[in-house]
Amino acid sequence: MRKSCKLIVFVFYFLPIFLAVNAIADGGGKLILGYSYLDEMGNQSVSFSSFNKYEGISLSLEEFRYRSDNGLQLDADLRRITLNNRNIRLNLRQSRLFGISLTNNQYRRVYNFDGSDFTRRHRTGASAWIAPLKYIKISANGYFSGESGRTNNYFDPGIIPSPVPIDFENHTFDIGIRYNRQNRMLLAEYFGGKFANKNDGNRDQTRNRIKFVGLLALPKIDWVILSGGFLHFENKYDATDFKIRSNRSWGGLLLNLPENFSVNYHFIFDRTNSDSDFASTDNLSHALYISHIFQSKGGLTAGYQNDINDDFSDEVNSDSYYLSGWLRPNNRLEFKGEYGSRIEKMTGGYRLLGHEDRQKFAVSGKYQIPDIGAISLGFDGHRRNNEIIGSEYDFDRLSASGSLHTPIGVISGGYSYSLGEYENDEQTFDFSNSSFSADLSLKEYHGLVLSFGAVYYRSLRDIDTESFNLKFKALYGFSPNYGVEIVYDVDNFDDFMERDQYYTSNIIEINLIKNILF
Amino acid sequence: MIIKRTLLITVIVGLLQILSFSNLLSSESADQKLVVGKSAECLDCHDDMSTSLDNSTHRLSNDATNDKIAVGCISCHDGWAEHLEEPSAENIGNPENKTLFDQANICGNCHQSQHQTSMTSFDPHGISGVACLTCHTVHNNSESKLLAEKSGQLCISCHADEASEFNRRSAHPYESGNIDCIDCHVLGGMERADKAVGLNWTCQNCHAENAGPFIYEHPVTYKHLVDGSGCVECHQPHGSDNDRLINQPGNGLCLQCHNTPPGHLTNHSGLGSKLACLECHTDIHGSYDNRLFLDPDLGSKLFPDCYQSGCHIQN
Repeated sequence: MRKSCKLIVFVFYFLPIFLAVNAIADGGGKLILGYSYLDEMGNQSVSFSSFNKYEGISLSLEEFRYRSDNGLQLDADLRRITLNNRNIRLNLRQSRLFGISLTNNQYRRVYNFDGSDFTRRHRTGASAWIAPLKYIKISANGYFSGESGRTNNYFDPGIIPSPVPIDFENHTFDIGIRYNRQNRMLLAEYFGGKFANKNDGNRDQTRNRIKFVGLLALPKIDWVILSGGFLHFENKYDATDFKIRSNRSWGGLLLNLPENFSVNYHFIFDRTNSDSDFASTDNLSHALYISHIFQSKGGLTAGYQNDINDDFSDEVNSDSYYLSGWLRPNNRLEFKGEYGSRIEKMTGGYRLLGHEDRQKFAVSGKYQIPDIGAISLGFDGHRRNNEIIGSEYDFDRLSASGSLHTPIGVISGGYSYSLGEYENDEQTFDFSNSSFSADLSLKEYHGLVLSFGAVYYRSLRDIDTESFNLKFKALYGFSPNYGVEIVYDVDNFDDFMERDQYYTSNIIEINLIKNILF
Repeated sequence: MIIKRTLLITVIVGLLQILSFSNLLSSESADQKLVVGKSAECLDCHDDMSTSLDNSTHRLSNDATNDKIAVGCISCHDGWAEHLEEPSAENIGNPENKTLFDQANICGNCHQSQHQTSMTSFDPHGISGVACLTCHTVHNNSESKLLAEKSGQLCISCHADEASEFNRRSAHPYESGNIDCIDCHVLGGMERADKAVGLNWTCQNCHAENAGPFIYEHPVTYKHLVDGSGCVECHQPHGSDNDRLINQPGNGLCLQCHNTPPGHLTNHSGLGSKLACLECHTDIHGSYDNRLFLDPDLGSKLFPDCYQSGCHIQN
C-alpha cells in the first residue's frame, strides 16, 4: 500500500511539474481507473495464465507520450500501480543527449491447490545514460530483484516435507562508456552484483565483471572489420572467500568482399578456474561463415565451427556445419531456410553423454499484401542422438498463420502442430501439441470497438492436457475524451491423467478511460 | 526523509530540464538551417508527410532557428536537390528500397549505437536480409523506438513458431507482459547468439539463485552449445507441457543423459528406484556441498547414518 501511495505521488506530483516546464509540446496517453473481478475454481497451481492476476481496484497510466518542442521525450507505461502485479516503465530522454528509465515488475507463481503456497518475484531497475559528445555514451544501470515465499520440490516428495521456503535478493549494477562512430566501436563496462540468500548465508555471493569490446573498420580499407573483446568474471562466496573466476577473450574478422560476398571468422577462448581443482575448464571455438547477397533479393550463408571443451581430464571436440538462405523475389513473397548439424566426440577421457549428434532445420514462407493481409507457413525441427547411452530426441513442428484486413476489421489466426519423441535405455516420452489461435478486431462503429480472441491448446500421447482461453473486449467511447472498457477473460485447464489438475477462471475487468491529449 | 527525497528528485528533474533547454552538451550541426529549410520546401507538395512524423524525434519543424530538431526530409531521402528542381518519383531516394548497408549508413548519421553497428557486421538478422526498416517504421508511427509493432509482437511476426510455445502449460510470463523477447535475446551483441557464443549469462539475470558458478558444477549447465546455453538442455525457455519448463517429466529428464546406477535399484530395497532422482539430488543446478548434487540435509531427512555408514561420502 505504501509503495502504491509513493507511486501515485510520483506520477501525480512530478508529471505536472514536467508538463508545466515544457509548455510547448504535444502528447497523449490513457489514464485508466479499473476494477478486476476474479472467480477461480480448481487447482490454482496448474494455470500459469492467472498466476499474476489480482482482484481489486487498479490505476494505470498507459501509453503516455510527451514530446516537447526542444526534443525532450517522456514515455510512461504505468500499469496497475495499486495492485501487486504492477508493471511500470518510465522513460525520459532527449535524443543524443541523455536518457533515464525506471522499471518495476512483479510476478507471482502459485505452487499448491488453494494458492496458499506461492512465491513472488520482483525486479526494479534504474538506468541512465548521457552523451557528452555525439559519439560517446556513458551509461549506468542498477537492478534489484528478489524472490520470496514458499515453493515446493519439483516432484511430490513424500518423505521430504514441503513447502520449501525461498527468500533471496540480487543486486546488480553496471557502468560503462562507449564510443561509436562509423562502424567503429569501443566499449568498457564494469558490472558488480551481490546475491544474498536469506535462508542460507553460505550461498551469499559477490560477483564482479569487467568487459572490453572493440569493433573497428580499418582506415581506408573499411571493407575489413575487426572485432574483439575481453571479459573477466569473478565470483566470491562471502562465507568462505572461495573464488571462481573466468577469463574470456574473443575476436572476429569480417571481410565485405566485392559482389556482395562476405567472410566472417571469429574465435572465443574461455578459461574458468577456482581456488580448488574442481571447476577448471577451457573452451575454445573457431567459426567461419561465408555469405553472399543477391541484389537484395536473396542471400546464402554457409559456415563451419569447431569447439573444444577441455576440463583437463576429459576433452570434447565438436564440428558444426551451417547453411542458411533467404529469397525475396518481390516485396510480397519471402522464403527462408536453414540447416545446422553438430557432431560432438569425446577425444579424451569419459563423460556420461558419450558422443552426440545434433541437427536442426527450418524452412518458412511468407506472402503478404500490404493493407490486405498475409499468410505464412513454416516447418522446423531438431534431432539429438547419443548413440552410446541410447538416448535420442526428435522434434518436428508445422506452423501456419495468417491475417486478413476486411471492411469490418482484421481477422488473424494461427495453427501449430508439434511432435516430440524422447527415447532412452529405460523409458520413452512422446508428446504431440496442437495450438489454435484466432483474433478478430472489429472497426469502430458509433464509438464502439469490439474484439475477440481465442486460444485452444491440446497436448496428447504421454501427456493428456487441454486448455483454452477466450477473451472478449468491448470499448465504448461515450465522449471524445472518455470511454469505458469491459474485458471478459476465461481460462480453462484440464489434465485428463491427473484428476486434481483442473482449473477454470472467469476474470472481468471494467475500466474507465480518460484519454489525455495536449 | 520523504521530503528530502522529494526535494532531491525535484532538483534532479529541474536540472535535466535546464540541460535539455540549454543544449549545453549537444553538438550543433552546421547544416541545420539547410536541413530545416529544404525540408520545409518538401512540405509544399508533401504536406501530409509533416503530420506523419508527429510523436517521434523525427518530427519536422518549420522553424529554421530551432537547432534541437536535427532531422528533416533531406536527412534520409537522398537525391533531394535534383528532385526539388524537377520533381519525379524516379529521382528521389527512398530508404525502404535500399540494402541493409545503405539503410544503416543513413540511420547511422544520427544513430550510432551498438545495435546499429552489429547489424552490419555480426548480427544474424543482418545476414538474413533484415534491414533497419524491416523492424522500424519512420512515418505514421508512435511506437517506442519507432518499432513497426510493439516489441514482442514484432518479433513474433517472424518468429511465430516460438510464439505458439507461450501457450503451453508452463511458460515464461510473456502473455502477462512481465517479460519481453529482448529481455533474453539481446540485440547488438558482438557474440552470435547461436554460434560461437560464450558462457551464457542471460538466464541468471532473473534466476540468480540457480546461476552459479558453483563449487561442484553440473557440467551440462556450464558448456558451450550450438543451440545456446546449458540451461536449455533441460528447460524449454518459451514454454513446456511440463512444470518448470522442463522438457521431460519425471526421471526422464535425467535419463536423457544418465542411466540409473545399478546400486540405486538394489540397495535399501530398491529405494532409488522408488524415488524420483531430484528428491535426493536436489541441488541439480550445482552444489556447494557435494559433487553428486545431493541435498545437504539428506542424511538427517532420510536416514541419519547415510554419510556415516561408509557407503556414501558427502564430498
